[in-house]
Amino acid sequence: MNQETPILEVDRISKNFGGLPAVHNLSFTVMPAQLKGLIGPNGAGKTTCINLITGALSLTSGEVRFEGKRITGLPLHKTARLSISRTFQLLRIFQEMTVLENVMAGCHRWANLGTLQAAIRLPGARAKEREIMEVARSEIDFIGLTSRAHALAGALPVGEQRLLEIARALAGKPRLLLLDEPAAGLNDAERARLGALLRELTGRGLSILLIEHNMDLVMSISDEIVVLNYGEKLAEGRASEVRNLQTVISAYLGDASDA
Amino acid sequence: MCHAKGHHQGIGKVKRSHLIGALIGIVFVGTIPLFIRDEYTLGFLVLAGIVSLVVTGLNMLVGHAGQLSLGHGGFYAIGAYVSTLLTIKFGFTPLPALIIAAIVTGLVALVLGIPLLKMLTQFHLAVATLIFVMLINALLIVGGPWTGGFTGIQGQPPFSVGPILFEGDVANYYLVWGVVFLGILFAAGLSNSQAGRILRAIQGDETGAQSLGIDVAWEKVKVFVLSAIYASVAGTLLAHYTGSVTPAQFGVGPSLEFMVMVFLGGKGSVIGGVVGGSFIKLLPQVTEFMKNYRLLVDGLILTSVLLFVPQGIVGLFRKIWDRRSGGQSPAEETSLNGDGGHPPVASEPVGGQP
Amino acid sequence: MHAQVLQFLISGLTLGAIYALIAFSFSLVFRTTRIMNIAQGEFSMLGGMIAIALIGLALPMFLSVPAAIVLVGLVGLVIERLIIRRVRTFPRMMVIMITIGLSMTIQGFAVVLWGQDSYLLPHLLGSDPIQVLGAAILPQTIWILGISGALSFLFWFFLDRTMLGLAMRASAENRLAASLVGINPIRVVQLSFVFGASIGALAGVLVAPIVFMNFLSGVLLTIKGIVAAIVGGIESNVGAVVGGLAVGLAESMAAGIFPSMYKDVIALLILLVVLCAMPRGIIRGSAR
Repeated sequence: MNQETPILEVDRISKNFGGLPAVHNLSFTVMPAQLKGLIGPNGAGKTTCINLITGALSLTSGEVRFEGKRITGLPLHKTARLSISRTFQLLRIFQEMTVLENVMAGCHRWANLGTLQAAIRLPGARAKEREIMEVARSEIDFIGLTSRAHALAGALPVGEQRLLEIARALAGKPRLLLLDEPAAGLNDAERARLGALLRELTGRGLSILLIEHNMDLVMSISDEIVVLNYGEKLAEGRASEVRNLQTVISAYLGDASDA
Repeated sequence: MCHAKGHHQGIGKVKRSHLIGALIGIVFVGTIPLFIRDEYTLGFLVLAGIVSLVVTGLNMLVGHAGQLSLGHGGFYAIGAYVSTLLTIKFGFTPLPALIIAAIVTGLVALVLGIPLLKMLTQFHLAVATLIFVMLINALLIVGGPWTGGFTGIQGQPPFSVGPILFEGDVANYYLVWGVVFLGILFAAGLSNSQAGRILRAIQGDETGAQSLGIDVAWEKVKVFVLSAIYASVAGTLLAHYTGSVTPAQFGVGPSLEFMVMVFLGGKGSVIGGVVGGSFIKLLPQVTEFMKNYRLLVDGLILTSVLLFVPQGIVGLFRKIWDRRSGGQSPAEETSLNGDGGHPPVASEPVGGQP
Repeated sequence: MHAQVLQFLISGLTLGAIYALIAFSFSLVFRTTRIMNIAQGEFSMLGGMIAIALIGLALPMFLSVPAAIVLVGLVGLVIERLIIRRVRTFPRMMVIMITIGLSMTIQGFAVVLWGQDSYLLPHLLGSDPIQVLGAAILPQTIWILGISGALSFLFWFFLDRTMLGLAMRASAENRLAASLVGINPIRVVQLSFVFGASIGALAGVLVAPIVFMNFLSGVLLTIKGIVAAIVGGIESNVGAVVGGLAVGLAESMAAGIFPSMYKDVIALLILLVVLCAMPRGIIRGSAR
């Protein structure tokens, strides 16, 4: 892939909720194999932004382009099929299924096993199932949940559930991963490990947009950072550049956020 | 292998214990007619098989995809009436009639399913499917020349495939339970595969499932149609067995009864259909005065099961089995024995939008 | 022609008023407990059947009717205590199925007690119709319209303007917060369920003289009441009235246009189509 073309372009997107602008004229890009952070105080519109990109919410105006092609207006499951995976701020794992099954479900995007084929076990289906199992197991190993593979997702502690959701998102072999506050509820050690994992993923060529409240994590692992406030972009650039901007500091003043 | 009993040996491969259980089941079911010659009881066993077929299909919708349908009695009716009309009025032979009836039912389910499964909530779906079965029932009553009104249509010949005629209780017993076996095979295959995982994912969290690229609306419609076809085939077999169809057989009561069977047997369990269906159908055999009390008993059973044994009979056995085999964390896998009902966890509270 | 249309209008309004009452009781229970009670119509059926039974036992009308309503209210209390309280936190599917189980159980009792026959309650105020503009109005109709109207106003007033009503709605919105400000959520649920059952019974008693009742009447009333509530907009007070009247008028018009044999089919078809088209209610518009 051409290193010059952004994998994700958010082009002057806006979203109004009945007159209240949640996001206003927001533009930024994510380059291939880049870890881009998206930060901002509570209510700045970060989650809305992800919802707009993936199609969970409809845009009021503006455009979103993935690998150069317009994806504005596509519903959630269709953007997912384009190799964009995401995690959720309020976890959406499948509580009654095992960890392994959760991640296997994540393979749907590329496996696309039809109902009839799968049920009557046509030979092609068997091979696919084996492949799904292998991919799922390897993602579970990567994320470090091997010992929990057969545990019920609902029984895991929050930190592991977050990892599970990421593993499930990775099982879809995405080219772009959108993470919505994956570190919420994690302790210091878990956070550090998460950071290392994410860096390794971009090392392998995955592009990541990371929404995060925790400044330490974002500052330490992001290649670049976009700062939002009140739905508008305050700043965009390298972590070192952004952290010292007056506007960014004052946006966070009075905000009770901490490590 | 040093696994404890609850683990998958491999996706697609059947667990040894299940295989043994299945063989025992087949032998058991297959030899019953040798011991029970009493026509009356045998007749009930045939009916038990027929409803088990419906419920096995219904369980894919309710247990796996997590969608409620109170109206499957409607598809049951369509299968019965359409095949009867085709054989009696248009001279079709039973097998093609069965297939055509299934296709017609499938189409109705498709047309109905598309708007219905987009409905806002479980509740809307439940009410809509309830209205559906009442509508079908009302149509049967006023159908006049087509449906024979209250008296229905008589003279349906026994089922036959080419020269093989299935007449009488024993023949129908094997026919019906043979079909049930096939139905369970398919349902088990579905459950243990990626397709089953997708359905359970939809039940787990719809938005989460969508984020994986699953077209939730379409998958729901697919399993709706599939379960409708099961009901249709069962209805056709019923018509051939009893020789006639009347609206009284296909009302709200029987339709709701299917749901009772789903939950009694074990929601989400592949053999739950057989367990629930047989239990309810054979209950009148055990207690004499059932005629007037049937509705009451159904209601009490449903309410009690939901309150006290939400995982159903199969789920209950599963729990006991798990506890005895060394107390592994229960329900490590879903597959054949289903994950039954939900514990009262706050993750999916009753609250929220209508 | 004129008189005929007027006749249909009146019968439509009458039925509509009944459905509005049921829709209201359904909506009340939902707004205060977040539970959609599919068994709601059974309270109406019970109300009517019990009143008929009491009259059959030679109890005078003016005692039977209130007694029936009170008895059904008690049934509601028992159900709340034994069941509703326990299932509040269950997943949605289970709650729906439990209300179905309740519905079946109540119907089952009705069959055991009264068989499968249909019954009619004697008219509350004599059965001679009054002539108005060429249309015949039963005194019953005036009762129904009058009582429904008064009740609707009372309930609106109660839920919107009184402390208790406010407390009930608050409790449904946020149980914890409500309890923190001194509202007892358990009492609230109890009260609203009993109210709901009683209003349902009242609707049943009002309709029993004009429509034959049997053990299955509850289901039909339930779905009409529910569709009325949903179409009118379940969160709004006016919604139940609007929805109920709409359903009643639609049914009446259909009965007028189509041969009476198809009455049920048309009514059910309308309900199904309306539900699919407007699951959010007339006010909020269609699904998309």
